[in-house]
Amino acid sequence: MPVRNSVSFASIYSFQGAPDGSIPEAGLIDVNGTLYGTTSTGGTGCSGSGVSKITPTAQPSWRA
Amino acid sequence: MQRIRRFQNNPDGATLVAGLIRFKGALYGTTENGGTDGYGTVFKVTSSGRESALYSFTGGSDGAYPLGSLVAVKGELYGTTSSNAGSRGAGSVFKMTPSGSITVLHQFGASGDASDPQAGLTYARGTFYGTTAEGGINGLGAVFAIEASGAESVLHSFTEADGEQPKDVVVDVNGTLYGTTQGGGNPSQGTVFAVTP
Repeated sequence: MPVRNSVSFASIYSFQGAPDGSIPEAGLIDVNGTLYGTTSTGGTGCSGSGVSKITPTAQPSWRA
Repeated sequence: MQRIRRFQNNPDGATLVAGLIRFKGALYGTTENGGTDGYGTVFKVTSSGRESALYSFTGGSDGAYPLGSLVAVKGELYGTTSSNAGSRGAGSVFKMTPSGSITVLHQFGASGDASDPQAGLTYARGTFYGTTAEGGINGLGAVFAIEASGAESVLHSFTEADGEQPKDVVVDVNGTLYGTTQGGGNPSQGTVFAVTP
């Protein structure tokens, strides 16, 4: 179980609860270089889930 | 909607958590529970509903309670189990022939190792990648890589700041793996992460 050290890791987004949602239970899908995903709760009113997308660049932009 | 197969706890398995994959003209999947020993199964079902329980996990070195989908690579199936008998956590990576002969590639759970994979594997450029909800040096989850030979390495151990409890597969985009964590980050509502092996 070696730990590989030459790995680049980045936490590229922290969900804020509202308005973007929280607790993503599922993974992401790649659609032509844009990633889409869901959050299980949070969002405006905290009553349900949302769909977000991210474009993986140096400065990721989210649209919740 | 037409039901093509109703599962029996033994030998088919029970609790179908993961999805199916299409492989060699049939559908293959895992059950979290059930089977001969109650630790879950790998099964095959045809579109006409003919089902075979290919393998029943024993909870030993082969693991128990698979939660993820399988992935088919070069004629064989690869998957994970989340635990071992009598414990939550640890688990294994296995490969299986289409007829159900299993080889355990890795047993999780050594100190600092990944533990408790709750999703299947992603295959990219000759290597399999996955996440675990526990383990890593901080016990908050990890991203791991494993070769078809069974050589495994931890790519990242999560910290409270960068994410906790990844529970799904990573997606490969041009050599970088993207995934989500259910917790961690600021303010502990979950994160999106990127790992470039």
